[in-house]
Amino acid sequence: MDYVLETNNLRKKYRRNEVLIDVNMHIEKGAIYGLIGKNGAGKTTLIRVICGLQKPTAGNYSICGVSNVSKDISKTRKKIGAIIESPSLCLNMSAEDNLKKQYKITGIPNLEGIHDILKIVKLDDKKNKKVKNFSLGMKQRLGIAIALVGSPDFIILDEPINGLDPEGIIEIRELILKLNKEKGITFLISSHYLDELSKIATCYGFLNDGKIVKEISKKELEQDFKKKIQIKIDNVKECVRYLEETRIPYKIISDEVIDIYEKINVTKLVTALSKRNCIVNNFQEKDETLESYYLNLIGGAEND
Amino acid sequence: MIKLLKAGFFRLRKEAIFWIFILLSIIASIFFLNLWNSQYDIVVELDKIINEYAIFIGFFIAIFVSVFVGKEQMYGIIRNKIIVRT
Repeated sequence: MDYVLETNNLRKKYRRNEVLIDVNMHIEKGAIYGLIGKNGAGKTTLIRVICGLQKPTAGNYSICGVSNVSKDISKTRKKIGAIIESPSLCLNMSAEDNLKKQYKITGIPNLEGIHDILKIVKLDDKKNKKVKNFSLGMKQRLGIAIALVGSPDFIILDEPINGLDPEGIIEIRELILKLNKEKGITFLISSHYLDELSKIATCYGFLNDGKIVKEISKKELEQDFKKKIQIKIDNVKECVRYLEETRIPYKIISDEVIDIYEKINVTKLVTALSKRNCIVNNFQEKDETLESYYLNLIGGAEND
Repeated sequence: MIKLLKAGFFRLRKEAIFWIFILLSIIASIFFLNLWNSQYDIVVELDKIINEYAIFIGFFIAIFVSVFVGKEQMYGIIRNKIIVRT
């Protein structure tokens, strides 16, 4: 397997506080990897270690097959673009000047690519506008534009949609998908917005208390999702009695609603309930969301 | 290192506070030159102006550098430089 990023038993310790504990992460080339975890789980620390802002206490990682202890890691890091915490922008400079500055930092003498980058992030018509007058979404897009300088193969985004309005979220989502599809850029995205992340990520890593609890692809996750059927009935007691008798797993949601966690024969269920004078008012098949999957997973990890 | 300096100078040129302090420096030097001229009625030598004025330059530089570097820290520009250049 061709991995852009691979970590082996990565550890990070701040004095007595262990933030990362044996993190093993694998990001395939061309993937959009969603890093999920609650506040303080170690997401930003992990990203900071990968970007070279902090040294790992133990373990190692490799970027595009080059180990972090190798001399070539500096060259390889040039293939990475990153936005950590917030995009690094000079507010009193225009969008174009911010990109020019990044070109100078990167050491690219030819500034011709600036227009193309601004076009990709749809800021070409605002290139002369000062960044301090930009909306949060525009700033985030400019941050991605800066990360695109040097044509990276791998972009790391730490909470890219934090504080954005729905329109801004859609813009960022479309931009990420476009870059992934058209330029083949691999993404590592950490986010709290699980529903949003589930729309773009092709694989997920669940981080809890410094440990990767699970790494799973989108396909595997969809297979893992529990299907549930939600029924609305007028007599919950009778329905529960029937479900207990037939040993069908269920959960009472309210006085009228019950969730059934098994594929059942609908006709059989409705007929059986009808015989017990129980009227089914509504019937809905629902998929488990990434949010509920995450909560179940983290809850399980905490109980272990 | 040269690339970082080039990027730093580029930002410096675009920084309004840099031009404000340049302007303030010129105004301050003209003011003191005028002051000495009117008070002592002597022609002040250029090197003396520069030496006397050097004290004030220190103040201006201290304020300017703290604002300039502070902004780099605040906007995450230093972090970005480390990611790109490490």
